[in-house]
Amino acid sequence: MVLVLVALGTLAVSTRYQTREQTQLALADSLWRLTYNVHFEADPKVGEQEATTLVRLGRPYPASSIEIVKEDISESDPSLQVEPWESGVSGNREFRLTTGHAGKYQVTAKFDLRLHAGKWNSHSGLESLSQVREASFTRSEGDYFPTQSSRVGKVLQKAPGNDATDSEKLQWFFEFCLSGLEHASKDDEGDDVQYALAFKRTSPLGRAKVFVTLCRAANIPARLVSGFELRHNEQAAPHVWAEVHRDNRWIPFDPVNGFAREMRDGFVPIRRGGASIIQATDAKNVVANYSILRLAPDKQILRAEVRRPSQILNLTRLPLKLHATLSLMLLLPLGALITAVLRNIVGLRTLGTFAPALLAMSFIYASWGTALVILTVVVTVGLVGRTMLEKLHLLMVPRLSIVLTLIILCVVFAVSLLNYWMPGQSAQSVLIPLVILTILIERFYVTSEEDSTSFAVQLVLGTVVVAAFCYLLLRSQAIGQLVLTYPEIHFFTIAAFIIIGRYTGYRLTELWRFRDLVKDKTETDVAGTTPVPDDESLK
Amino acid sequence: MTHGIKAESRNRKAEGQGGFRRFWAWPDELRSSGILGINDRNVSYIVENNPRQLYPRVDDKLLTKQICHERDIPVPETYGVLRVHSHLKQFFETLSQLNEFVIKPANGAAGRGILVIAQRNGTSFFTAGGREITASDLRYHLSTILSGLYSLGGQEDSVILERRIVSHPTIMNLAVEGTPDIRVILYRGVPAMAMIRLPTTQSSGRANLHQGAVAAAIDLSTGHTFGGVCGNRAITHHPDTKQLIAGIEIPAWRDVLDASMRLSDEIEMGYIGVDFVIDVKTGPVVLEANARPGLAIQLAHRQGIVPRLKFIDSLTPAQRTGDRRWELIPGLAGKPAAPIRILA
Repeated sequence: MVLVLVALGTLAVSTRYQTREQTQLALADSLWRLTYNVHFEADPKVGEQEATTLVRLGRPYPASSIEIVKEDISESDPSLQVEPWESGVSGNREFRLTTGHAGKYQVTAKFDLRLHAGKWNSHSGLESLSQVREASFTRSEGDYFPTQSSRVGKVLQKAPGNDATDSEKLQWFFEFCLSGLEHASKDDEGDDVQYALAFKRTSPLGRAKVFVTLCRAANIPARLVSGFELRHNEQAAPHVWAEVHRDNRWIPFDPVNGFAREMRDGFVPIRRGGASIIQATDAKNVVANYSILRLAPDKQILRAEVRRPSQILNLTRLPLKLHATLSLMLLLPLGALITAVLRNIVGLRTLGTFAPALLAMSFIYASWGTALVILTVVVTVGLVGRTMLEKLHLLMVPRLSIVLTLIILCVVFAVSLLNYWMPGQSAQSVLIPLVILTILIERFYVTSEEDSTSFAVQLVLGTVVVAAFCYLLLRSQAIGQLVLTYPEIHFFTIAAFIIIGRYTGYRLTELWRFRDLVKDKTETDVAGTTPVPDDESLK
Repeated sequence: MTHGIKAESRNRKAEGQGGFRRFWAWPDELRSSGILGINDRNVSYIVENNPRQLYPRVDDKLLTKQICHERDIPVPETYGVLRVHSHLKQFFETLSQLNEFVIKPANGAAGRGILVIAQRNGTSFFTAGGREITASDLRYHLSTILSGLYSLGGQEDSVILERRIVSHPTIMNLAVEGTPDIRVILYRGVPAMAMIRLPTTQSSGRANLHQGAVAAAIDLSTGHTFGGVCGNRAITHHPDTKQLIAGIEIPAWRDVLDASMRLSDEIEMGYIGVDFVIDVKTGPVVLEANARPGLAIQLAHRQGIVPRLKFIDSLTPAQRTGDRRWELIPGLAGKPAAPIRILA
């Protein structure tokens, strides 16, 4: 039974958790369409055998934050051969277009991408570099990455020396590229590394190239990555950043936007190890237009808020005003659980079974100081009133009613008094369930008459202790919110009640109550008047 | 291994510090001593053996009395029953003719609401302790009983007016103020433990242990008292009368056991306590039966009750019914407790 309840509870909580996460994510996720519109003129080299024109269109990488929903390519000319291709080494994905005929071609490639909210692309998966590949990422590439040039050498001299760690060097390079170079006024100006270092002025592409050059000069494997930032743009331009190979991972650095070691979500890498999205051989007049469009989310997700009966199970959709009341109600079973534990396992005795939890609940509405003052007033008035009434010899219900009336009068004037002294103090503390209190006072009175005052005081202390624990629980907003979101937690509560209900061990107070019975036994053993019981604990 | 070391150090502590009363017993120590805890009592004995629908037989004293009448089990004679407020006046007239009587709520628990009048002087009544109760006090008391102040669930209740039992002098001399009573706990119809409860000044004449009354264990086979406890501490002498409480012979002990077994058979509950008073003239009379008897009887015995309950469990139904039960009693009878240390 307990296991069934626990299983049910776990199932319910986890399903709710998942569906909540899913709908929230689904709403936060965004769908984008990236379109390449490419015109080129094929110009195969005449005279060579099987001369072809090859155009390579980079395709987006699936990454932790980006899911490729659909890929589609349409060409104007059926003679154009389209072949999806993936490089095993670099992982680059491409559409390879080949043609043997000269002429003008037009190709449209569409990629539907889902961007998952909240997940940043920090790095790609683990990848170790062979020596050959590592060398290829640290080598000088002529004017493109002129690692050997004197200008690069000069910058390196300013950088931290040999005793600095690679991380320190990287940081210095990053900061140098980020703020050491000014923005070039024209777009194409300063793509060149030499130019950038000479005039301290560079373009976005140049900035990334300077960074890669510096890294390579310091013998840190680095490469360029080109891709797009997903934002609505009908004339989008590719963005280029850098990746550095550290600890078997490629780690992104974007000296243009200032992202280090982590790219913002929304950046889709297209080609690694190159700055261009489209690479063509034997083609002229390659013109590419890129556009990025935001698409509407799935219909299903937008329809999630449609009124349907299953929403009754979702309490968080209710107005905020109701939240406080509902979560307090939902917390009451937990209060009862505390009461059960303290009564049945600890062995505290209270006046009434659920009175402590209800008392604690009433304290929630008031600051506890105010509530305590009011409680003291109520109890004093109640007890004094009850003692005076004893002489009148009244029947029980009318007597209780008189006590209640007295208490209410006192509370009302106490509230008025509080308001007089401290205007603005909330009168919510009046919500202390007066009827419960009245009955408690009656019970206290009878107990102290019938049993003894000390026993009655014991009961009151027990009540106060249990109420204090319940108060601490009920006050916790986090727990309240949790129970409101996942009311099925009470499957566990019921399971706990069943366990307590079957608990046959000693109460803590009984360990104290019966302590002498054990002591006598050991003394008997010492005296040797009875045979020593076969008690393992004595061995 | 760790367990052994722990127990060892525990023992050393208990022995080493002479007059120190330990504050704590470990659950395994209690278990090996056969002590029944309240949770275990409720779950394993009361729920198992006492069906809910039979509770009125013990909770309603009028019903208990009726059952006793049918089986010729002696109970205090009933002078009258008051069920509704409108009969209060008439009831009060009956009552004011009597010189000594007891008023009790039919559904009261733990001796609450019981008023013992030992003497009357015109319209003034006096309790056994000599406290004066005016006619209006008495009427008020009747009406509070009727309105359910002392009843278990706070329901409307009835008042029983019955003969005042005058306790047998052997027992009476032990206690002050109130009437000592004898409790026999029967498990599956077999007497398992018995004790005598002696009121003290502290308990203001009531025989409830938690109010400060004294209890002594009774040897089931001989009817002799032994042990003794007040509150949670072992004693040998009554705190008020300074009488030795061990070694007293309960008068008509066999009748007590006989009546308790017959009542238990009639009530059909597996775990009950039956309370007796030994009347000076008529001998043992049943005061009430209890479906949730307390655990303090173990303190009075300085023994746990579990071994006895387990023994009764091990018997065949034939062994634990009818007159064959008498054969069991010597086996169940408690041995006199080992010499105990008296606290200064």
